[in-house]
Amino acid sequence: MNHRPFEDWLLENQPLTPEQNRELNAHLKTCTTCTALTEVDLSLKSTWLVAPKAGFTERFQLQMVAERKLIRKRQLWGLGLLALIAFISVGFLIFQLFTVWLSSPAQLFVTWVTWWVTLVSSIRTYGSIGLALLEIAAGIIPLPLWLGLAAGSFLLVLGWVASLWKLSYSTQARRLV
Amino acid sequence: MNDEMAWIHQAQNGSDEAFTQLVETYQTPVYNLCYRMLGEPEAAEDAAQETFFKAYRNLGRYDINRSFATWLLSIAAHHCIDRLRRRRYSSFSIDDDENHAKLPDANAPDPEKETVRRQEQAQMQTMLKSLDATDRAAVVLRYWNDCSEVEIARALSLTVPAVKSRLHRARRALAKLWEEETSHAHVERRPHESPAF
Repeated sequence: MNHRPFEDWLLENQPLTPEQNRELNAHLKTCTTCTALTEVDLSLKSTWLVAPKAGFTERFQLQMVAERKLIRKRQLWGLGLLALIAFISVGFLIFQLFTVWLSSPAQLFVTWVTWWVTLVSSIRTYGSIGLALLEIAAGIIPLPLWLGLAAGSFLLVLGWVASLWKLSYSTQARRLV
Repeated sequence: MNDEMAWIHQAQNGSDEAFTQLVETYQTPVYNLCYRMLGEPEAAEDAAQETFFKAYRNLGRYDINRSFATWLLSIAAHHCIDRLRRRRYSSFSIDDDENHAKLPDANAPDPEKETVRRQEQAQMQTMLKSLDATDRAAVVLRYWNDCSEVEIARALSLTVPAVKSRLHRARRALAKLWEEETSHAHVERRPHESPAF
């Protein structure tokens, strides 16, 4: 039998039949590779555990305390940094708002004054235009037409008052019913 | 609920005393794995301590359906593999008796056998450094920590066939080195003999 199945048996650590064991022992006498494989396996199986120096747990506890302090320190630094970033951000926002507040009254005053000036000047302009048109109309429209317009306006006002009175009377009557 | 499960449960609820019990229980297998992986007692101590810190920080993520030992060894193995990959070249110190304690041998072999055994162990420790970091972790978990192939696969995030393949490759490589060392030692023992040809 060639070398390969013996090597496979050794590597797989399979249980062997007595016949296979005899064949393997015979092979081991001639094959240095399989002998080395067996010796390495035996050597590995006879290994022992190496223990740490005494006081491993105490050293761990000490390091754990030190690490906790470090973590706390890092957390404090982190919190401090966050607080600083928040302070700078809020400060920047407040500064921006304050700048707007500082500039706003003047802006508002200017807008207010401009609005009133525009309003007054507009009224005066429209008034002047209206007077000019009346003067022109007074020259064009004859007297009987003016009297007709005045009577018509009077009738319109009278109709308006009568409708108001009628509406208010009907509402009171409905309330009484 | 056994002691270990009770400690894990208490530690997950913030009990440092319970976690200390877990450290006390697993310090040797974790340290041994780190030592076999890194080869230096100081580096092994640091790695073992770091392993327990990582476990402490991630205890909330531990799945109680898994073996705690495998989970812990998995953290240690990954940490050591990362360290080895970072430094690329690991240096092993053979003269390590001053730096850590060996567990007393329950079988109490005779001194001559013990000396031979220690020499073999030292040779094995030297040979381990020739292996790839993951292969080394697989060998250590298999032979020093008695992990099954399934547990090794879980610990190293590999498939079971990949673990088998890595273990075979590692054992072949170790056997080759062993053969070379043995033939070299054989020649050194007979320096005055005439050559065979």
